Amino acid sequence: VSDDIFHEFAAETREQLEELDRDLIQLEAGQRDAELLDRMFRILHTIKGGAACLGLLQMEAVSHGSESILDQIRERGVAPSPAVLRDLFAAGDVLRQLTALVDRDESDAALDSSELARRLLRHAESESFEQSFAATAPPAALPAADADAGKASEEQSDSRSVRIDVSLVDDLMDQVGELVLARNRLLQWAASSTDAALISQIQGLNHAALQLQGSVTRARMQPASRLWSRLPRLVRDTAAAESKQVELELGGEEVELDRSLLEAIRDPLAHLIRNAISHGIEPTSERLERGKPAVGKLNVSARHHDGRVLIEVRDDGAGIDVRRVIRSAVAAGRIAEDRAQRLSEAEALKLIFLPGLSTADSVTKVSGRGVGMDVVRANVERVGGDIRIDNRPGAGASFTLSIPLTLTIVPTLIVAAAGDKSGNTDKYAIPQTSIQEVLRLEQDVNLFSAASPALRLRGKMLPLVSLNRALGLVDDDAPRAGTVVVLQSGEGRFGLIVDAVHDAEAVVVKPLNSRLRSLKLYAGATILGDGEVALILDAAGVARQAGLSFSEEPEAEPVAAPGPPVERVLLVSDAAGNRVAVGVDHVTRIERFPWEAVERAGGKHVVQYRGSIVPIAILPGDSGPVASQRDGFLAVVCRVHEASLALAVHGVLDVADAPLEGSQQPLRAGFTRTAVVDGKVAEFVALDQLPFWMQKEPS
Amino acid sequence: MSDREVCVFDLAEQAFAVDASAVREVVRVDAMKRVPRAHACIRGLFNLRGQIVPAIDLRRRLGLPARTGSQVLIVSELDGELVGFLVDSVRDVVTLAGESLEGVPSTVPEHVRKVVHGALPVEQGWLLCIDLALAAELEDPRRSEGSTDWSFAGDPLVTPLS
Repeated sequence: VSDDIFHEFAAETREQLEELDRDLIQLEAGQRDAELLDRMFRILHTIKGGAACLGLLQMEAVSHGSESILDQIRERGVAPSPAVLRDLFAAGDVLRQLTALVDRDESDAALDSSELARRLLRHAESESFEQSFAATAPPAALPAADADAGKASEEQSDSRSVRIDVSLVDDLMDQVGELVLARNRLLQWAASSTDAALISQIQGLNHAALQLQGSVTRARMQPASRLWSRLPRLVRDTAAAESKQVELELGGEEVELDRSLLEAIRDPLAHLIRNAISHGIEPTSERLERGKPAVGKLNVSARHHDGRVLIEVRDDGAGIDVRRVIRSAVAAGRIAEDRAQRLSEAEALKLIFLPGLSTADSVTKVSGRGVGMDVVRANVERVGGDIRIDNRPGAGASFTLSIPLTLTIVPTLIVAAAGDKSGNTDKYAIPQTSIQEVLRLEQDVNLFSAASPALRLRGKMLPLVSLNRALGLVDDDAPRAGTVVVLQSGEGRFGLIVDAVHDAEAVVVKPLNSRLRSLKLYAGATILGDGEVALILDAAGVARQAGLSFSEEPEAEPVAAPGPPVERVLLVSDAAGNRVAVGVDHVTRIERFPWEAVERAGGKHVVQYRGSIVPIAILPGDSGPVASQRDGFLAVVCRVHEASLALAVHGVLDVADAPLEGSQQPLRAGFTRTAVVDGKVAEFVALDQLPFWMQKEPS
Repeated sequence: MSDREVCVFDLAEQAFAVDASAVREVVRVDAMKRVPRAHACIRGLFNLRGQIVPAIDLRRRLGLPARTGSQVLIVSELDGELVGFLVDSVRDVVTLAGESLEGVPSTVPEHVRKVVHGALPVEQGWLLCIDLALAAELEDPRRSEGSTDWSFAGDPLVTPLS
């Protein structure tokens, strides 16, 4: 018999055992309708038959024993006693272990389960039957026709799907990735060709490749129900160990996500659920005291949002006691006491992600051992996700994981690091999910200290890391002016100084060879459109390599003692040297555009910026961008009413706090007010009334 | 075991061998992507028809002097992963009839012995047979492997036996 048959049997059995687990929980809950019992019987019967064919004696015996019990329940219509249920659950577990052995090409004889098999049969024997089974009301008899109908439709849907080895789908994905690269090269080539027939053929190929990529990506998708199927058992076991009553509600089982992502969030999800039961949901007596229903509610759901999948674990327990979190963090020496007192509630909540922190008063069997949320967060971030907490003290807490749809094709920004001796630069890819923004460092706006380089970005300190130095490419590299990619890693935000920023590119992520996986700097590797290999940077890994430590600095600095209300502004200058203030809330980036980038559309001057067409605005009084430098002009890219515009300025002066009070009426049109900022007069520009740089009639 | 098929290759003017069955293919590489902070023996990553394969510098691994000229890669599959080994040139696959592995001469330094599973007697001397799986085990990422100058007695050049 070929190994394939064994593997196929193992794969099928694994799925059936998951279904059996769900059914067992229903049986335990008192359900005994014919459909349920028939289904359980059929599963066990199928496993028994397969095991017998393949000579798996242990498996055959255990499934036979369980099947006999099911048969008795069906025949006699009695409820199984707790002892019988316990052994049925145990049978499911043993069958799972035996399946794992089979899948590893080992004999099932390696696990002796004869004792359990004997016990199961004893339960089913008629003379001991009455003791084993607590006789209760007979089950609601369902017409057999219904069960048959269900079976028929199941078989029909079976014939419409085929079972494929996951590695085959992975291979397909790799090959599609190759095809996409070949297509990219052809497209580049076609761009310079004048052969219409060739171009049309290549476009046909392009279309087919795109569709194929979509289909294969879909083939890798699996519904969230794959993840949900194990949860009832997990909840049942955890609740039992904690002597709590918990009802599980599952939602969004049809939401699909990439297989590798499902695997990646399996453990974090289990951890959140165990936490919710052991820390969140109160013991029954306490719940009743507080006027809550005795049975705690745990809701796990998935939904799509903004091109990502949100997975939420919500309980109606006690919520998170923020005071206690702070006490634990202080006691563990993770944060200074005086600092802890100044934390906002949201900041304090984030302390639960610090390593080695446990808020459980007692160490219980399932959780509260002080390992936990930091690992959960690290695992979620590894796949480009993040966690949000919504805490309602007294009423429960919810943890929402936001994860990308697929891991395999990831949008990235390609950046360059120092070249080698021959001057070739190295390209690295940074997943867009960790990028907050890209800045150009202008010496006159930014602050440096050589020892711990940082820059002041909209009023907050942003530590700077040189990519070249983090990678060990250069030793002496003091951060210079250049391009800064602002990255959000779990622990905090930092700026990565890169030599250059190339294109945005969606790349096919390939895992690193195991010999390189200990390098936490990289999340994988990829092949770029030009065939070049590029490493994919891991933001958290780069931060660690650079020795950044955020753990004691929850991001936002607490706001200092309330003073007069201020508005944070970017101070720029116009061609005539006037100081003009722009609200930083609107500023996305300061950018130098080369003259060649200026194009004309609809009578306006425009530039292409991050994939969209942005009109160029000018300050009131200016006639156009100032040719301050031969290689281009300086512009503040702003968002006004959901649209971007590039505001051409003469220079960028500083970021400052401008008082909201004590300002005067504007001195001219196009401004909202005039005020003294940092000791000098500044005019506040009305962003929604900015004139555009219009095209002049040819002279 | 009567016949042994080995792939003979050169490293720093010395000939070595690997079991031909361990060699998946031999490719010439022109572009390699370095991996900052990786083990010193990993020269980089290269694109083998869409698969990203690490290249282990066998000269460095065996403590032989570095070389800048063009090199070729012996690609092998180890535990389901492809790994490339940079060598100076590959000569041929030869069948050594009736030869069996013998002990490694004591002149061979310790760090080389660790990745060699025996010596094959050939007409003009010995041919060290490298175990690629062992050579691919890179433990201490910081340590460079042994001295940079050694060779063992005799001229190990082989004439292929047909």
